[in-house]
Amino acid sequence: MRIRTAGVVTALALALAASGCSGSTDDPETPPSAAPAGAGGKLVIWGDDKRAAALKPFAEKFGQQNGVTVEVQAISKDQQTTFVTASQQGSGPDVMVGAHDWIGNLVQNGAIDPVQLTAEQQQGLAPNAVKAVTFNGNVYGVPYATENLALIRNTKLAPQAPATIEDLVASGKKLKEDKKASEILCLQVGQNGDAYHAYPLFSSAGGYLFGTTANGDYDKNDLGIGKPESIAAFADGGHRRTVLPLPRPPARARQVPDSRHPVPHRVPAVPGALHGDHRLHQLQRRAPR
Amino acid sequence: MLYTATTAFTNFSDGHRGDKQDAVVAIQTASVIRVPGSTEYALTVATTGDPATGALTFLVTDPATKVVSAGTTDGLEALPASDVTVNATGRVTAAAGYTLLNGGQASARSREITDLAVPTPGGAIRSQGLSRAYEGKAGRAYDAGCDCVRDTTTGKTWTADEKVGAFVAADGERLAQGWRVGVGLSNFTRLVTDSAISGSFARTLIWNLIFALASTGGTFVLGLGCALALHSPRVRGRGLYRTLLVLPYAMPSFAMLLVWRDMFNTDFGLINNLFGLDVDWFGGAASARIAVILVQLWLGYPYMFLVATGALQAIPPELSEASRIDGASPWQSLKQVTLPLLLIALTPLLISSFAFNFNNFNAIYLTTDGAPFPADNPANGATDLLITYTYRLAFGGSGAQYGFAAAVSIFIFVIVAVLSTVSFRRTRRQEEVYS
Repeated sequence: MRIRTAGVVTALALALAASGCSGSTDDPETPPSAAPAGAGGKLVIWGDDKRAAALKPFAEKFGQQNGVTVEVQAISKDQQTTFVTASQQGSGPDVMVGAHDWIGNLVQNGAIDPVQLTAEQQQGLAPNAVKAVTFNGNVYGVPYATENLALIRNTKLAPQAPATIEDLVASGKKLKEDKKASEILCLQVGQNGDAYHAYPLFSSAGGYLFGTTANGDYDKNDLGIGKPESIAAFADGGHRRTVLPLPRPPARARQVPDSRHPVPHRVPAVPGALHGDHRLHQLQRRAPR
Repeated sequence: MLYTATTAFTNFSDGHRGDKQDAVVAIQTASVIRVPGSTEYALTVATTGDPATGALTFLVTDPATKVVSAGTTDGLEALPASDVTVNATGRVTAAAGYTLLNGGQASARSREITDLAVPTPGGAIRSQGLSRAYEGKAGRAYDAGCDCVRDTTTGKTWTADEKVGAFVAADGERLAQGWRVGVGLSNFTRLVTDSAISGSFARTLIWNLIFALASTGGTFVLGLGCALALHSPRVRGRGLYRTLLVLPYAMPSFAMLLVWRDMFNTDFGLINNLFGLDVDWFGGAASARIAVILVQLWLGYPYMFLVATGALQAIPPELSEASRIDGASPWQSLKQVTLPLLLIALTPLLISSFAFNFNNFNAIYLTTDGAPFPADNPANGATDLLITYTYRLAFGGSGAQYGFAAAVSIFIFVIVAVLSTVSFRRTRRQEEVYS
């Protein structure tokens, strides 16, 4: 199961810089902040709308403790591009809250510097999360949250947690026959598919998106889409296929899900085999590239 | 305009944004690795001179022993415990002979503080923020002598290549941090010679022309048809019909495009539900193209209807009356009297409408966003216009390529300019014939 490190860079100043912190901890290109010499410094943090709101109380507390003004600014759209452009201009923030998969691009644009964590500090963090913010052997951010998918079960209808997806389908079908439920499983799938939410099933038979090299980094030359394992996950006995019709032809297979067009729809419980066959066929046809 | 034109001759893109100096700084700072097992010091920035200009000194406190040392570019030197006062967090609050910088003063000189490295046997003590310091070792250093970056442990070198704007090793490995250089015409030649790009570029260009022609021609025919039908005085309630027909024009196209996008949704869209279809409209190239042209037709015909109505009313009714008396059928009268007169007024509008539709960004971006994409090219979809393709190149998810995008946009400019000039020339000739 894929763990997505949602917030990355922020905690760096909050956790590490103890007091009197004001200049750029994050970006050497940032010129000294506008605060006049002698006055308390200013620390600028950028985040998206939700994270900025959540950070505010902590930022205020930190500011009061250390005698600095902490400004949390919400960047509602295109945070990564805005951040790169702004730091190029020298007007970037001191700390940026973002997703771990930005790091490669930010590093090649020289927009972020490594965060030097001691071994003890690293031990206090989830190993997977530290791995996510490590790029070319250097840690570039401090993870403060990870995201994961969860399967929510109606315990009144299904008191036993299903051990396998086949169990889930079997008990779901039974409930449907007894007219107790109208759907077996709802999974978010957009018009162009949803690689993020489908990933646990996609990888259930050993499928993967990118292979890994000897040192644990992703190998961009080893693409797992269309490999027999990834197809097997959806062809297995027809169960998975009927519950989870494949996303429509993975048109943007190489771009991960399209969040700009969220047309979430519930997956029909047992759609005709025709649908499943049709879509599977399309995947296979596209696969051997 | 000028900026776009100059950008087209550079490799301005992700990884090649700044100048060489920026790249060198980024490479060196990114290569600093904490010395394993080294202590993390509490840092106080101090100076022996004026707080705003004096030479900086790092007063670092070892958290375990509370010994304070003064660090400059010359090295580290322990201070006698009697000379310094240390608070609970380990930071120095007073030191004999030194002026301590407060938060604001330190902030004003943060760049110098970041640059200061106090040499130690294992590496150098550097600041981490303004209150912590660590001992780190730069893994890579720039050597001006050979204009290259050298790895301090393995000795591998990456030599600056001014042609590509990157440090390249002998085995072809490139460092990620590059800089911006002029690349001459290579962005333009890439459009023609790189088969992965030129093939899809030609396809996009052809589709773009078809799209613009179909949008302009289709709306013109439909709008003119409606205008002619409502021009006849025998139609009752013309005012009401005209109002209804103009309605799509009155609604903001921005919102309507989004509504149309959802109406074409396969599972819940109005169109599939209404006609009992199961067409994955935006999933196939042909259906997606038909869909966007249909949307354009709906959005665009009211405009053509309005201008055609206006032009029709400006044509004296005596002319068609005279042709009728001369025995012309209504069709002949339309074709040989009304239409030529109409076209004189409408051709410039058709040309500008063509130019507009050629670059109709919203029509694609808000509906299909270029989809469907071929499996091997996520940058260029079947319904992409050149302008949406350019946008994706410059600002899309797979990394910004401003230089290349600028080259494509210059291509678009040339194409539209040539098409418009040719058409305007032809109109002028036509006008000369009729006047």
